[in-house]
Amino acid sequence: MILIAEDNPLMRKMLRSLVEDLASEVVECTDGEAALSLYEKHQPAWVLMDVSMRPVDGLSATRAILARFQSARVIIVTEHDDAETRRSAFEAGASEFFGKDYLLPLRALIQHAGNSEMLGNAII
Amino acid sequence: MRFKALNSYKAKIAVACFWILLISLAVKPANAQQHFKKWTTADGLPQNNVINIAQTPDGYLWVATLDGLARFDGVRFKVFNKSNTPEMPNNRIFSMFTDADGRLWFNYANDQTLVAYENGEFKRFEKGRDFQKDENLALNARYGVEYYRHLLGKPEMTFRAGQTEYVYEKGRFVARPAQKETRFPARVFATDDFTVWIDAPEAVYHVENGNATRYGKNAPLPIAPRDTIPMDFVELGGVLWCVAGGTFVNGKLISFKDGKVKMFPAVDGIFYLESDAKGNLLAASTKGFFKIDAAALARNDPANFPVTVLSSHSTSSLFRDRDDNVWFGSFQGLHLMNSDPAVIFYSKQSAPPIDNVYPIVQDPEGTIWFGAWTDNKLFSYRDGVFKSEYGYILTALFVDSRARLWKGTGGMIGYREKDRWLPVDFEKTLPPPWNKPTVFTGELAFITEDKQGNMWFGTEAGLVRYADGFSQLFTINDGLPSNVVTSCFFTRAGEMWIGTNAGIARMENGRFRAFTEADGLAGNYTRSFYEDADGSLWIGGYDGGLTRWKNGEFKKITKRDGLFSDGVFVILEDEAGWFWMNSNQGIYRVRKQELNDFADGKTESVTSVSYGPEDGLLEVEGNGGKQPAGLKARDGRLWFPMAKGVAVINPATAKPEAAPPPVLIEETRIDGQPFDVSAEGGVRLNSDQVALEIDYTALGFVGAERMRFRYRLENLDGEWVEAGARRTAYFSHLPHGEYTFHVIAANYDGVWNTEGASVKIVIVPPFYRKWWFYALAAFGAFGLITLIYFLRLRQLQALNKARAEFAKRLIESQEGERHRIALELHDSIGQALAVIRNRTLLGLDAAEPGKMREQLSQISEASTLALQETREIARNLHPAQIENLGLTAALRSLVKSIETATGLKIEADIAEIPQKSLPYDASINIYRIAQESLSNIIKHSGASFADVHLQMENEKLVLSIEDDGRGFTDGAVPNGLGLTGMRERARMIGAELTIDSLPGEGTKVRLVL
Repeated sequence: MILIAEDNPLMRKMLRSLVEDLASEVVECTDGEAALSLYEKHQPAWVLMDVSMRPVDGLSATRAILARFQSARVIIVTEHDDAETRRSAFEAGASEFFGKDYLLPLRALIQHAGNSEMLGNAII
Repeated sequence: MRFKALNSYKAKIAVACFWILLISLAVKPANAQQHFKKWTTADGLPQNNVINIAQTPDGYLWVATLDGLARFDGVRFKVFNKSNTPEMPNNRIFSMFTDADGRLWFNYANDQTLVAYENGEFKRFEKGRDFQKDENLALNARYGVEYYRHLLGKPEMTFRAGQTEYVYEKGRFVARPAQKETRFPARVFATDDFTVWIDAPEAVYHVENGNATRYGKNAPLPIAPRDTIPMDFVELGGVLWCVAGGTFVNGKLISFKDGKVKMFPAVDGIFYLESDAKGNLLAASTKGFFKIDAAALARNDPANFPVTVLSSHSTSSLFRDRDDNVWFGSFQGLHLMNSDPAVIFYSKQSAPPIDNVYPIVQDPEGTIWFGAWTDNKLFSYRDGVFKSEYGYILTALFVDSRARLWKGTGGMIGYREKDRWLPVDFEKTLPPPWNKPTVFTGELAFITEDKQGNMWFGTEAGLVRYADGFSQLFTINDGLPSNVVTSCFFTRAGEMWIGTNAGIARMENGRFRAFTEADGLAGNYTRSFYEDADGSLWIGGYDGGLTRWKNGEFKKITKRDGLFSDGVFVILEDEAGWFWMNSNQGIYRVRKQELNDFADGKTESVTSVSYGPEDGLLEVEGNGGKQPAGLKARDGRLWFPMAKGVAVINPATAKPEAAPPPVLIEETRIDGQPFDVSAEGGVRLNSDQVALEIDYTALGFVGAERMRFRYRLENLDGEWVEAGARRTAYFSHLPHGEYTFHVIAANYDGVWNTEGASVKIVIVPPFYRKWWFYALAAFGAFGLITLIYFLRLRQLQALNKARAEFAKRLIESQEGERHRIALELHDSIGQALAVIRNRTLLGLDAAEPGKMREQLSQISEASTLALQETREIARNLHPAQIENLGLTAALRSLVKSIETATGLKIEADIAEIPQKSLPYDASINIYRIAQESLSNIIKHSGASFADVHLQMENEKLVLSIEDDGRGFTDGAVPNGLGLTGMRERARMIGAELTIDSLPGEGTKVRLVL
């Protein structure tokens, strides 16, 4: 199961189409708060988390999820592809970070990760 | 003493005769005008009937008339009458009397009042109050005589009424029983029948019909002293001259000597007698004013008794002042007699008549020749006899070395030979046009001769030398400063000097070297030369003054330096070392020593003695420029050509120098109001009083008009102000301080009274010139400046704060806007583009055409959305409709889009505003205000309904936006940029913006442009 937290419908639709065939189910929401509750409810294998959302932004939601579910795998998917956002994302506990401009590796990541723990290595 | 007593007596008689004279006299016009100077109402006299004349100890002359009293300083009459002197009962003064203390006493027609004047104050004494009422004091008794016989001619003021005598003592009248008189009031006195009594040392004589009856000193007399009145008399050379006769009207002159009486029928109607300083007898009579000279008096012979008629005016008063000037009053005014004029003036009135005299010479035989332009005459004078012959416009006279008399006239230049005039023929010797004698004659200024016997003629065309029938013309080409040649002089050393109207020139080696004002000459227009015994050359100007040429150096002396005039038409030196000069203002003299001292820098000024009408120079305007312009005759007398005749002065007897005149300060006025100096001990001006006038005078009656004054404000400038003849000093806006006004005066002889008179002046500083005010003002100013500074500081601070606040909000707003735009770009367009990119990559990666097509389809959808987003952002950034379609369309679009986007119900009534009628910046700002208002409604009001109106009202554009939302209170207005920005926009386009809101009652925004 993959949870998509993205407020832009176009982007959300694209993310769904990107990962849809890799998971049994894709769940969507448009803000961090919803993402947390959905995560609590479903504990999906992956969370594709946008940063700029209201009222609760993606990083806060990431921190909240990770605080309660230390094994949660949150992938930050953002248009703000810069060093500062990237650092903040990992500090918040994100597993992976993708700029929205180029998301093809994201599919590969999820596709090959399976249950292996190499995901992080693969990203690094 | 005697004099004053007589004076009081004269007063009585004057009044007594007044009515008789009025009806009995036919007043003849004056003939011997030159004997008197005259003042009338035209000169300030209050009335022309001069009743009486007196003098106070300060020197003023007092003139009583039938319309008030006048104080006279020689120039100005200060009138005292009922209007300015309440002590006076009326203006018809009956008589004036001077007592021994110098007091003036007046009594009045038809009044029982006596008025005294002493030390500047008038006092009034009334019958019944200050002295007893008595019918005998009736002032309007017959001719006043009944009254005046009680006004005894004593030095002290005493009069008798019945058996009571009133004596003036210490400011009031004291009554006492009339004392028995044991002495007669004067050496000559009269009784009721007007017969004369003479109190001689050895006996008393009663004179009647030319006979004297002798009474021994101890013999009983038929008269008592108290019933007599003093009579006028003059004693000269042991002879007593007095008036006798049945009445005053036909009073006859008698002489009394050694008990013998002689009658002189040549003069009758006499009522005053006086002597002048030279011992001549003056007789005032109803028939006129007469003089009998001392020699005739000494002969005491009725058969040889020539009488000079000085005036045919009937004479009402006679007075000899302390300077021996003789005054008389008539019904024609006040007269000052000029008994011995220094100047003999031959004029049109003389026999023969002489007028407008120019050149004047004396020939070796002693005959004086002069040309008079009026009637074209050449006059000769010898041994007191004038002769004349025809002489057309004589412009130059000369006696040459062969004793030939030369003349230049309008028609010729020539000389006299055996009573014939032989003309010089220039036609042979000069080229045209100079060969016409008229070229020279009309403008000829001089004829002269050098040591070689050459004749020289000064013309307006140049200088002509003539010898042996040949002439030579010298002009500016030869070095002359001008061709208008006015004068010529040969020095003893043989130098030839030429004067022109543009400088002087000296002949040097056949050429002329010019000197002008630039070289130190006092004036370029030259009229005369004179070389003194020291070899100094003196140069007289027409209007520049006098110049001394000595040791190659010019020194000038001008009017500013004390010269009477800047006109020096001629320079004549007398035996006593005086330079006599003539000018348009008259003849004057200056000591040569003074001129030299001044020129040598030893003194600051020179003193001139001038001559005028008082000296017999009836018309002062001098003539000159036609040489010789004056003559020192062989007898030492000086002849001056004058515009109205010819003046002759004997310098040896030309008037003695008078004593310096007393100087007085008469009146002080502050801003036109008289100020009593004596009460205050000085003049005191307050700070708001600006104009100070000080009247001063110098008392001297001969040549009073030519008295000169200098004054200065000590402590202010220190410089003497040359006031000339002016007798008032004017000051205004004097700086505050203490000064002494000091005035000095010179009489017309130039003798200065250097002590003068002075008065203290205090100008009180205005309160704003006092130290405490300065301190207060400084303190106040400091306080004010501080206050202004702090107020301004606060204002600026507030302004700065507001600006800073606004700037901050502006920046915040900009940041917010940027943030919003950035977010929109990121969220919509950025993401759409990101989607497009990723889907493109996915499509490229897709192995199956179906999947690729799907990605392309998604890309198309994302692009469409991106385009919409872009347009939306652009529209928010800038409403393109305004530019393209105008405000109306833009607002309608805005309302529509908001309605669509928010669900807010908007009632819009947006009128068609022609796009071109509104400037773009107005449109955009109105749009923004509407946008902001609607945005506020959406964001803050919670309203469900809004009303938007845009229309023209009275040629004004009105936008109003109302909502039914929650509103706000003033204090709670969110001071965000929204409202401030709206106001700022309104201000920018000159519109009026009002925002009305109350909690719960919605908000109304109204914009009027």
